[in-house]
Amino acid sequence: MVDMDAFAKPGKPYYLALGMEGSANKLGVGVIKHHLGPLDENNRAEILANVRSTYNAPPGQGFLPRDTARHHRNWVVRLVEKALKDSGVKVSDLDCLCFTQGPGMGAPLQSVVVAARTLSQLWELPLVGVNHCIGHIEMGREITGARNPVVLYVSGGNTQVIAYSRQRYRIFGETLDIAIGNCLDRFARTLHIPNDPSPGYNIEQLARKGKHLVELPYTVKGMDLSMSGILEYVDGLAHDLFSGKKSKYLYDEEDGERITVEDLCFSLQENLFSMLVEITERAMAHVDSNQVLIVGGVGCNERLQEMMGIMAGDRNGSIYATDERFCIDNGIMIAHAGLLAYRVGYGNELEDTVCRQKFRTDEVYVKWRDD
Amino acid sequence: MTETNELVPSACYTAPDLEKEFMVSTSAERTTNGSTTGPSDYLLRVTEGDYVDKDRSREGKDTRIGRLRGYVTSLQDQVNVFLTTRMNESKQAANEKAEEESIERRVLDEGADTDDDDDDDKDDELIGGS
Amino acid sequence: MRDQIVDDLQLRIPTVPLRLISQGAEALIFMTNQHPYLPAGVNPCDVDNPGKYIIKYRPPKPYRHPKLDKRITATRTSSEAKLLHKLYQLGVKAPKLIAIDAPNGLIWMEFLGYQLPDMRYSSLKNWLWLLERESDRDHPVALADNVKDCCNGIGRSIGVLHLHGIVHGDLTTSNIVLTDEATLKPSLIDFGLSSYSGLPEDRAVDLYVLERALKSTHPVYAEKYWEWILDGYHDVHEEDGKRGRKKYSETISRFKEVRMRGRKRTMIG
Repeated sequence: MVDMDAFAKPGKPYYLALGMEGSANKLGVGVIKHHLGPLDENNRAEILANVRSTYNAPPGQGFLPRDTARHHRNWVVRLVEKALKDSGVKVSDLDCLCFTQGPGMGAPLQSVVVAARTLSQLWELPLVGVNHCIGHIEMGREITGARNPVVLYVSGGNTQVIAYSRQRYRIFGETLDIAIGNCLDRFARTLHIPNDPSPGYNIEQLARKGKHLVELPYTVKGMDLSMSGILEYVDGLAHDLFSGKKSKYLYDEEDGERITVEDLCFSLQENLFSMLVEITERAMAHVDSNQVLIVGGVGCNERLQEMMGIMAGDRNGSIYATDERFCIDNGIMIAHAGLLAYRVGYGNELEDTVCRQKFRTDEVYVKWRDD
Repeated sequence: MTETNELVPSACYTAPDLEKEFMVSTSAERTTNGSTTGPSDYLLRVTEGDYVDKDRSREGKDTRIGRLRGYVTSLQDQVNVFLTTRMNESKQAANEKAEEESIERRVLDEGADTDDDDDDDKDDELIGGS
Repeated sequence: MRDQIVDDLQLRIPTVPLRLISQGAEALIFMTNQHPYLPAGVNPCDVDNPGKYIIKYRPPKPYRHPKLDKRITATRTSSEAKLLHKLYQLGVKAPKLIAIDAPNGLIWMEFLGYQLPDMRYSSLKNWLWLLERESDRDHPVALADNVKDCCNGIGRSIGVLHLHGIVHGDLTTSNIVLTDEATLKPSLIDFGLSSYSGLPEDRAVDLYVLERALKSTHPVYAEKYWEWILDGYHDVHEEDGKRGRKKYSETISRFKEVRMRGRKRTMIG
């Protein structure tokens, strides 16, 4: 059993951490409370505040680092103020300040870390740098109670199948080119659909109305997968559809109906998600596990959850997923993962708070687990 | 009347070829939404001037710290404009140099044609630069 | 539910005795002593282990859209079968194809492999684990000459595949088996994800998957094993002359990139 209270303050029966997340276009601030002792079914973390603001680019555009960083800079103080107000905690009662050190986009990460450093000096609190992916994983485990699942981490910038082994979250399978969220987002741009609340969500809604399955390339390569070819292909189909040229319209082979945008979204999801479920199943077979935890923004997708659930059920296992408060990037997961690290002695000196755009999940030494 | 313990920022840029000081005036109009810290040009362009900026900074209150925010923004604007101009100048100089080197290389190393009637024009380009 | 899949299959082919020997993510592997069309007791003479056959079955995947599922099952089954036949023609050691029922996801092939001293199946994975357990500083069995030769042979097999524009697609230590206890002749199996590709990228990923598999399941001697495998891979390309050498250097330089990319991809959100 790992001693989670080796660094507890005498006389204080709990820990409080404030976490800040801004690696992409979501800015999140959360306040979390851990009671003494290891976390388990009887000793759960308490979420005292979880606020978020999302920067959305206009339809048809992706979010630029510059504008995203501006959004984070100009909103962070307001979010921190709200988080403190919602939680009712006093700054003097906080134990540490946690921030996303990576991976992610440079400028937005930088905006948040500057805020974290400033607050750290203002409030004289230690800083804890957190790996964004680990934030998702640890929050997922805590919220769902899944002890040791295979984790599918799917978001705008990440697509990884992760399994825990000997103090590391090891990557068993991943994308060989783009992330699935990125693929969906870019297709959303091709279709010129709104980015609000998220392009992926809007594709999901369109997909629900689709019914014809269009054949798309299916590119699983062992434990990994590739998606850029599929995106290129489906973009091509969409352009043909929008071209207005009758000769370029697609028709379903069975009922002869014209293929619509909804059908394309439907086909894209079915194709991509089947690939994800397949590589997840491979990892599960490899490590002999039957539990799956889905984290990351794309994990909110109900069709993905449904498909994964069917696969897990077939293996006599189960899936765990969180709702949009936690799937989508947020500050509370950073506070939680940061606090876990803090409790086993981690902290970053100011000079070690440099952000890293390419911070791999398996680089972190998971000292707070000993299984 | 200016308070004697007003918080007024300044900045100093030092380079091998020059030194520059940046100052702000406490009497000039203040804002926390600077000319260089607005939405990107790209964003304004693609939205064809219809952009609704939801991410403006809150204006500073009339306290020392609040006014400081305004001063810092204005200082930031000055610094940004200066640095951008400087960056563009050095980029242009680098491009010109690269262009010259490329012409030189094409003629000397790759044996670009010197038998054309355009011969004289080419020589003019090399010598004259631009 | 997995028993249901087995029962379901048995119902569809009631006259064939089936013994489940492994269930992967994609397919179930059964052993049977029955040949698809020869009478009981009669066996072909050109198989390694007469009387022992493998039925590879790809069950339907309920999570997939039925149209997609049928397509993938049939495509993967027939691709694998065609490839087995091609390998036979190229003289690369692989299970001999006997019969196929693509729409139903069934492949009948010869059984390769034997039982290791610890009673396990002679997959490379099990063999290396056995060697690791038996090895110590005084008797580094895991680094003996026969292991080296075996790894060379593996590299050579992969090399021949790549030279003929074929990528395996799922090179793990479970998909390489030893076929003969005396000679330790290796064979590649499970061509379910194989494809025809002339791209250095695909060959590089093929190698990368195997290197990663070795490093994660056999970390102790992985580096040495990989070195020997690459030697065999390199030799077979050298022997092919100028074309082979060119292909080799393209593949290896891409391989280095893929390795780096795994560590360097930008991750956002």
